Amino acid sequence: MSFSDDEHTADLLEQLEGVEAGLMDYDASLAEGKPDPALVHIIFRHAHNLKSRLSMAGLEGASSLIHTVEERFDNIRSGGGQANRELIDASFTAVDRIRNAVQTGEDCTENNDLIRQLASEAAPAKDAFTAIPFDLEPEWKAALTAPDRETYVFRIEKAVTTDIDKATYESLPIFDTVKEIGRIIAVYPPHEKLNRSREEDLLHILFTTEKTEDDLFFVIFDTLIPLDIERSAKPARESSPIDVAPRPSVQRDIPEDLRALIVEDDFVTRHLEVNILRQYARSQVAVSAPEAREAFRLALEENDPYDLIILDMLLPEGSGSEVLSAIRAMEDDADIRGLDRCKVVIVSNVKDMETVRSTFRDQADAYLVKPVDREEVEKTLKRLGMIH
Amino acid sequence: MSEKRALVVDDHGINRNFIKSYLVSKGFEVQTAENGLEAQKIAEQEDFVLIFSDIEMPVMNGLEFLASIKKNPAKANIPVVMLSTVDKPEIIDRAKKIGAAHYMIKPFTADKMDETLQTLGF
Repeated sequence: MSFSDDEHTADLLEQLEGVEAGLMDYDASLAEGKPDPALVHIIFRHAHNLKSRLSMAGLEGASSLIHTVEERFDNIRSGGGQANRELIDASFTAVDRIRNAVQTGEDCTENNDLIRQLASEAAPAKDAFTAIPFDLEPEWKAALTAPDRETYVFRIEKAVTTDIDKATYESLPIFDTVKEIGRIIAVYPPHEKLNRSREEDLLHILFTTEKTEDDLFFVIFDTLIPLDIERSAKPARESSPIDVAPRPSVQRDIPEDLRALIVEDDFVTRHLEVNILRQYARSQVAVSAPEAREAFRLALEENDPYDLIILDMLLPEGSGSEVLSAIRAMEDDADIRGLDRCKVVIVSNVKDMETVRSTFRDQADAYLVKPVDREEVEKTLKRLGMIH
Repeated sequence: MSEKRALVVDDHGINRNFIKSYLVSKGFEVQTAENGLEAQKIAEQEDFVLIFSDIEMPVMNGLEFLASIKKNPAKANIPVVMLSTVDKPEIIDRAKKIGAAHYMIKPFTADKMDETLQTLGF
């Protein structure tokens, strides 16, 4: 089971070059102010492979040196942070020493100072979002950083080989796994944007879930980085309870004449809808079917009925369709008919959209497919003549 | 004609070959894969009595692959030996909890392989 020395040495040097090339590219990306997390994975993996190779070759000193490099980059990888100058410089020195050991066959000794230098603290990312190497819709970002969100937000970093074909890349089992536990917000890069100047790149999946990091320990096996508010640079604001539909906070730039009710139990979608409607209407929210019916009844009673309802189909303690029927019945009782009726926009996922359309043709005014985006909402409101 | 078919999963050629030639010398017929996804596809179509899988791999790592095997009732009984240079107890514990039959820390010798096969009753 032995391999020739030449083969071993060639492999050792190849791995070493992998670490070195990764360090150089990372150094360059750091200088540009955009440290590339894919390179952290690449450096880690080459260092990881190198460790056992060096140990097999009997170079224990060199092995412990690269082990320290590996550990540092593993910590950065799992923490979503970035390496600092000291770590990169020390890693370059380690690579030089190891190369010398491989070429001369003389193990490196007296590594303590260098190991101490390598172990200096890596700078954490300023804000978990700065570590995301792609742009996020402002609405998503606002929703995800909201202090009162109910769901957890995570980013997965998955190493992929860049020669992967498009179909395989787009149907990786990880996508089904994430869909089972939560909702995918963003995926990056698209297949055509994989960095093919390297063997490996990183696939990022941003998602929300009700599960905690502990729950996911036996579900997600790739690097999982929580984007919790504590780590965000923004100071946490006081959170407001959202189990009760809050009173609208009326601001001066909000039109007084349009009143909307957003019925949505998913925090991120709700937050997004509130944000989109902010400039057009005074919005209130309801998070369950009974709450929505109650909000509508109260508004009628107070003689300040809603002009617009954004209604999710799947709700706790009832369904969107029950809410819609109840609303239309209340309007009938109050003798509100035709164009005076409240406009109802139904929000549903693609799978259910056709059924929803055919079932509610008479009762709803428009339909939106999740994920909701600003452009679609505005287009719909224009079509309904609610905004110009 | 061998009844003993094993699957070896590692992104690193030297590791793959080492385990493969060891297993062949013990009378196994050996299939190899470069990552978990490739291995998952092969395992869906063929029967194996034993799987060796590295943990650190791109596309689908060893733990994700292990979990997928353990979730499949038709495959869950195949013993899977995880290979890693990481000897942290929490990682070993995680692999065992997912269902790994054994955990080997790299680099290992043919003696360690002997021990592992014996432990697993081969």
